[in-house]
Amino acid sequence: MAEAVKEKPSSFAEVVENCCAQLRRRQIQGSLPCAKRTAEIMRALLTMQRHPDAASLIDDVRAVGYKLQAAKPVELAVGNIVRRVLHLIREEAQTEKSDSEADSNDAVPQGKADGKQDVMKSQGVEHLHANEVILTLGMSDTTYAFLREAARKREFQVVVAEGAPRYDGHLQARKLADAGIQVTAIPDSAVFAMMARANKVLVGAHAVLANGGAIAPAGIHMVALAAHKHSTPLVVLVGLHKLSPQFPHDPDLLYNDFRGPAEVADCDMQAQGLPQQMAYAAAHSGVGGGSSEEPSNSGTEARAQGASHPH
Amino acid sequence: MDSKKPDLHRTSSRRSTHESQVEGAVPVPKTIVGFHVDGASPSPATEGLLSKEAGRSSFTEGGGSPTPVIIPPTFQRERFETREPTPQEGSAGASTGVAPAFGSVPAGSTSQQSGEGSIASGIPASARPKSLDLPAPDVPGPNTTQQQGNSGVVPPFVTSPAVVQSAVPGFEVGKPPQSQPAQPSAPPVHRSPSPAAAAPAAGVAPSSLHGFSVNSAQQQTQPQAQQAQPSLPQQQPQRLQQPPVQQPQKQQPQQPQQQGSSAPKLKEMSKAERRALQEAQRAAKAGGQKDQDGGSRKEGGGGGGGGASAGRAHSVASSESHSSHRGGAAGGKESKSAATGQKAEDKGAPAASLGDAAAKAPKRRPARKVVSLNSTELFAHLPPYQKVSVSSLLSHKDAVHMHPAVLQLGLRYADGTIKGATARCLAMLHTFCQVIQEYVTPPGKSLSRDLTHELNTIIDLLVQCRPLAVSMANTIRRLKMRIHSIDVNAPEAEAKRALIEDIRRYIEVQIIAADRLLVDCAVQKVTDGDVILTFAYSHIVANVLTKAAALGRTFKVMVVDCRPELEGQRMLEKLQASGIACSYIHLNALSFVVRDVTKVFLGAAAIMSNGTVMGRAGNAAVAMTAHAHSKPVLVCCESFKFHERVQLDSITHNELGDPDALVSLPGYPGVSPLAGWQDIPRLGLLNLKYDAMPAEYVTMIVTEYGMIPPTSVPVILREQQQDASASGGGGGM
Repeated sequence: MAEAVKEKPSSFAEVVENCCAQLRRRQIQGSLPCAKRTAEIMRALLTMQRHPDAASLIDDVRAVGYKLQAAKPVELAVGNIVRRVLHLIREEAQTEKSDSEADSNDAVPQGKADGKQDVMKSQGVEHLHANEVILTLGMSDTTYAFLREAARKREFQVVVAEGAPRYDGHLQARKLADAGIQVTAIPDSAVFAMMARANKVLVGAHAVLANGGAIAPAGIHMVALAAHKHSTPLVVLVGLHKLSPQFPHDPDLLYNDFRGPAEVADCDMQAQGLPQQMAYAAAHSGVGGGSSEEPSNSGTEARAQGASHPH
Repeated sequence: MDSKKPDLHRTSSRRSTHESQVEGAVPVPKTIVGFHVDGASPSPATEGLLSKEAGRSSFTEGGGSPTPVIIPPTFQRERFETREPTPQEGSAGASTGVAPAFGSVPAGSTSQQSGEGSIASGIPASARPKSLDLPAPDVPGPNTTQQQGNSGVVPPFVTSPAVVQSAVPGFEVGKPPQSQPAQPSAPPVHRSPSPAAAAPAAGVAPSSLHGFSVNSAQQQTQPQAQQAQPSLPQQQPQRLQQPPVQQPQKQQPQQPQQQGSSAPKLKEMSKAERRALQEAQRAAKAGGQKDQDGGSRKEGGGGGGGGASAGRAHSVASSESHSSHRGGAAGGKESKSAATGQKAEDKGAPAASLGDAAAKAPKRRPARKVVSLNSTELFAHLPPYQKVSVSSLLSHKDAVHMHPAVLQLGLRYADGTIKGATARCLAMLHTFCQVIQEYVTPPGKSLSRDLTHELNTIIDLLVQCRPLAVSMANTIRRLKMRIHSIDVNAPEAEAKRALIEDIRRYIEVQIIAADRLLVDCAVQKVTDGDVILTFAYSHIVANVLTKAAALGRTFKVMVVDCRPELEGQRMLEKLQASGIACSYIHLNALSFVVRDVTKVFLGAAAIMSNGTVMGRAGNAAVAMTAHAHSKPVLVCCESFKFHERVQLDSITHNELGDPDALVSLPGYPGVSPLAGWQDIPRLGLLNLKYDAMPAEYVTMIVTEYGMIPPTSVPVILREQQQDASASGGGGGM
């Protein structure tokens, strides 16, 4: 999906611009692709440009990082990778006081992101016991890998909530079932009911914040509350590249990502509301903002601050 | 697409009602029928009831049915489609032996008004020339299910023989070859309606069994199939051996051969044949499913735990035996008990907490793979979802003698054109009124006893269409008490009039007046500047909000909605029509908007004596989220929906909806990954209808008595009981 904009950019500035555009257009989506792309750009920065000393390199990295992060504030993984690179540069500068960062830097962040999955997967067996009922919401590659790995040694059932605006829970359910795991797909409304029978909740997250809260696909907050109510452990599966040092002061404003309302209410429905909306606006000009129907789709993100164990 | 369906039903059936009214001979009962269609607004009820007396005896006298049965469009469609198999029609009608029975019933009454086209005509379908070609109850069964469910995703393997085996049992030795062309294509998994339909024809003691038990009687033969399987050498892992769907498929070819043979021979034949077929099928499967890494699945299956495999095999057996076995009830019973024992052992420790469910599981087997392993354990105590069609309803043993209004009501319940606790209760009471009016006590019997019996059969049939709501159960209990109290010596006409008068008063007092009082009460809580959150559709909440708007309050409403029913869209329409500013959001985005909300208004299906509120699935999640954000949660519920039972969680008493409803994604391009879920052995869909909201989330309950905390529910219940015991005081019956 990321290939659309790439057309052999000549200068480094163009590379960054391309990446920013892709982020804005949601051509790069999800923490892992964002982290990888950022790491690639950082490597390009190191290889394409020469820097006299560490300080100037740090300045450059920081400037590029800001730019990338500003393109898509909700993708906290971008900032995380940039910070990671900065850390490595500083370390390197301290120990060697030389400009040989280039070779040590390039592969590290990327390797981290990829390797994380394996480490995490291997923990699956440790946390699941036989005949457990696991509840999850939506699609998460991490969760999928985790469960599939655990299914090699354990027999358990998974309950998958569909994850309404995106319905990627359907895909998750299908994939898990194809992988030989007993799966039950439920609508999101049944999460509360099924929580009474779930032993654990496993969810993937978009990012984990400094206070332990997680940013995850919409609906996770409800799941976390239900898990809390039923005293079910909720485990958030994330790679290290998703751990962010930032605090959610007002996460709804800062870290949310809104998509078009068409996924929630189709255009027919919105059109039906239009005349009434106009009539209402005419009648109550000034009151209630005049909008009679405004489906709001808080898209991908919602904040969850339940008990979370970032792995 | 899915979301619009019910709406479509509603409107078009309303139209058909109108048509039938125009042409019907007796103008009086129109209102009742019309009311049924709408289902939500209680107002026209009483007039219809009062005027009903005029048309009382018309039905029995054959002057045209006073209550033309309107078959909802879904069913109509199915009828027309099933008409196609012309060559077989006559024979089907003759061989089943069910159709003649219909002809004898109210033929005189219904056939006279057949001019209206099949919409309005009586349910005793075979009385009319048009529906005679409906090839008897059992044939349309599979066709319907395919059409309604599955959304047209027919697995490639499926060819007509698959249906033959499922449909044929009813014909017994009759005319199997003729029934083959009847279904051009059909779902691979055999659905429940057909065996139920087939049973009476097959002579399985229909007199003592109603629909469900007929089903279970059929299912008793299942373990035969199950036992036959393990003997096959190449398939040790029990759960792997039969992906439930494919099994029936490969048995297709043998089916015609079995038709003529005797039972023991049949069994041997099928064993040998089945092995060969299984091999062939496995090869096909290996070829077909390479991409789905079938290998790993097999490994996982081999090492599986006991409980899991038992459940698997169980569900497999159930789906399989539908298609294959039908003879040998005694042998079936033996093997059933054996299987039961084995299952109980297997479940053992891991399923300890689900002991109850496991124990009950063998009694009511899911007729199809509703939700596979998970639900056979967790939801075995709930009746599995069954698609109800005209034909499956007609095959009910009491359907022949049933008042057409009852059948109509049942269909309405089943297809969801009447839903909601209040609407269902009201519709039921109206139907009861019609039945009582046309009821004639048989000579030598007392009205109170025989009428109770009559009602019980009606309720049986209604339950088959959809499990009773608490509101209905409460009402039925009151009504039965009332009937019991009828003086034996009272003249029949008078007793009936008194009874109907009491029902009318019950409706007026307990439902209509209660609604009005409740709305007046709840409206006080809507103040200027409020942002009110509500979930799905509740007619009482809609009434409260429209009333508040009519009173000139300015407020905003956030309608939270959730799949699969998307009832919130109906709420949105209604609120918008009265000029209320609305936002429409999905349940998942709730935590984003909930901080702007000032009050939460919810409806309820029932309130338990511990304060637990049963409501449309998702209610609890909404209340929980609101509670977590310290928003007041108001539950609007009339007191006739209170129940003295205590419920701790949503699993114990619930209702399973159509699992196929989860698959279709309206407005989404492409095919859902869940499409064809029946073919995936380890995938199940669960569509719960209700959930239980703990009392702690409820700030207050608004009833017609005023606003009470959830802890005061028992007080109201006690008062109601005193009322009821004081010889039908206050509340009508």
